[in-house]
Amino acid sequence: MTVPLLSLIVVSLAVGTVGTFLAGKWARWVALGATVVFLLEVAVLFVAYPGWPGYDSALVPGFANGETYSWISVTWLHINYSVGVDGISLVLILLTAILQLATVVYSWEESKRPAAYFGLVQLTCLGCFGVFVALDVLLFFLFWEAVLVPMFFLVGYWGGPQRRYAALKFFIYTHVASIVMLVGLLAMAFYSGASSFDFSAIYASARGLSTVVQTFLFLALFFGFGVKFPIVPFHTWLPDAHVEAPTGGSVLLAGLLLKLGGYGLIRWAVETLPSGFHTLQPLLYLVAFVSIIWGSVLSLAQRDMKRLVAYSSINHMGIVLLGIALGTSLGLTAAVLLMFAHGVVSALLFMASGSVHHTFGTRDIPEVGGITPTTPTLSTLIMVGSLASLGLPALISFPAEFLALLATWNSLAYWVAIPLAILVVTAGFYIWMMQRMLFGPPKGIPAEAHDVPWYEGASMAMLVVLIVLFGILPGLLVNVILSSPIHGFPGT
Amino acid sequence: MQVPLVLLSALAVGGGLFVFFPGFQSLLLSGAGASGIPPSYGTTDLLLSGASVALGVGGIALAWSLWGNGRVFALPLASPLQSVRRLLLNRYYFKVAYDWIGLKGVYTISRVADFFDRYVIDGAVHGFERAFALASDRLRRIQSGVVSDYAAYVVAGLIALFVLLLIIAPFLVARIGGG
Repeated sequence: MTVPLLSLIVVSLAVGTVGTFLAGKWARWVALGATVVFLLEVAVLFVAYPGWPGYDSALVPGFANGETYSWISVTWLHINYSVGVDGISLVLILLTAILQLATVVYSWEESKRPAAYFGLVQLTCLGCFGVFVALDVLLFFLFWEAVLVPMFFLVGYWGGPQRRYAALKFFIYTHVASIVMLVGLLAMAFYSGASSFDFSAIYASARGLSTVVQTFLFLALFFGFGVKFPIVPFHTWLPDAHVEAPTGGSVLLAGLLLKLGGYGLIRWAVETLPSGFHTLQPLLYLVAFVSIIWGSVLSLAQRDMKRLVAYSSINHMGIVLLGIALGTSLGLTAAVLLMFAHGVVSALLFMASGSVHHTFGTRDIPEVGGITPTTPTLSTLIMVGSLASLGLPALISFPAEFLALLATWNSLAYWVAIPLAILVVTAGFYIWMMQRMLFGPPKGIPAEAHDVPWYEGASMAMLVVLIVLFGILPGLLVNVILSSPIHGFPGT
Repeated sequence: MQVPLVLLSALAVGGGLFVFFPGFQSLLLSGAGASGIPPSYGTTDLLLSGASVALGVGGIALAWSLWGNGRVFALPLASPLQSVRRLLLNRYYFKVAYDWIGLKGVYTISRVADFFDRYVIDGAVHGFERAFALASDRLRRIQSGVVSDYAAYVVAGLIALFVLLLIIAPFLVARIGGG
């Protein structure tokens, strides 16, 4: 008898979430226990993955650990509880488990309604996990929306002075995009004449739609998923949400929520609407290049460390979009690897920003300087995060960005000069930030300033280990990504 | 001081050669992944590699001819190569260029872009917000409490629905086609 592992994980996450909400003063321990169980289950999922190691042709375009149960069935509507994983979702599930653990440990001393805080963190991760495994339109949308609600409360209740404005802005932006996305998904399901809302049924029938229809559907889905990326000009919710969110919220926002957009675009738009994708490829390139340039140039002008990292996220997600837009196996592999890399690196940088705020009472870069002698651990972590984010070799972003640039060169030749030139600006603002904050004469350092507490240091150190591990051995992830249906994409 | 420099030089000279060794890509993509993306070295790669090596070897040869075996080289003041000397002394004017391009140029552009992002892009969003607030304020006034008004709205709505379903939708379907 096959163990329904994915459902087991959904149930254990749900039980962990409810348990945390009810656990009162023991909430952090319940959250930690549920998180460790989640991580172990994901480890089992990895070991049991039939596409590992390497590419298994039997999986294309199928999914491993598939489960399908009829949910709503009337004559004209068939909705299933349908889940499964492939290489892309597996890598992002691993990211979810890692970031849940990192967030729970980092927020260990959260004193403001800890049960609700840790419960909402787990609910966010449950929603993300659901998005990555759902293979039915309605199930996918339910999990997608389930992520919005806890994040709204995390920003709106535990955030900074402008938290309500930021939470509302985040909610309206992403919810409007969700509605357009839902219309696109439903239109795709109904208009293609698919026998059910299952991914496999839509995959089989939507590809046969006319190019014009595919183009309109792709446009709707691109907008829906693009706002989550976020793409320029629909990006202004991101800096506000990041600046106002508590550190744990920023980690989940940058590390996971942005990845939902990338994943959704690959799974539900590029794969199912190849003609529409080809027609709109120039638009995708344009948006990707604009996002890459805009995110990086704007980062240079920021004073707030969190805002700087937020804008650099727009830049990195622009490179992810470029990888997806290329539509080649190499480009898509680079995009997924970069999503994982950005998830880990941005989490580290947002945690470091939070620690800077806890220690010095501000995140304003010109206000603090020469902090290394006072906080050597924090300074080292900021430096590793910054160097990883600017793409230093042997750290995780390097292989991902290298693959993305290689894929761009293969498909677009000299257009690669744009992301390549922007990498210099990216290096510039991170080095400038390090120069001002970490080195030089001490400035703005309170007498009681101390290095990071154990829980903040431990969670960031865990991310550093992963940044180095996958920076040296990216093949561990690339193999898994390659064993997914991306080989069936157009242009590969 | 010399030992680390020698070690780094040896790595710099020898490290690049690994690119040409079969299996180098396994560092990046192990197992089946590497076979999916085979290495390819075309004319451009070889030309670039050759030019880089030639420049490096040329630099070593030039340095040896000037300072090798402990020789001391002093460029005569009247030499036409003084301009080259100034270029080298100023490190190709990279610092000046960095200050101009990086600090003055790109940073100024980024400040302008930041202003545009805050007040134009986000300003447009706030404009939408205000427009919707204004529209909803006006729209609530149509709730007049007069039954004949409501009846007129219902009729107008029905007409709009008929136009949409019987004229616009068939026209669009005929123009763009189905699956």
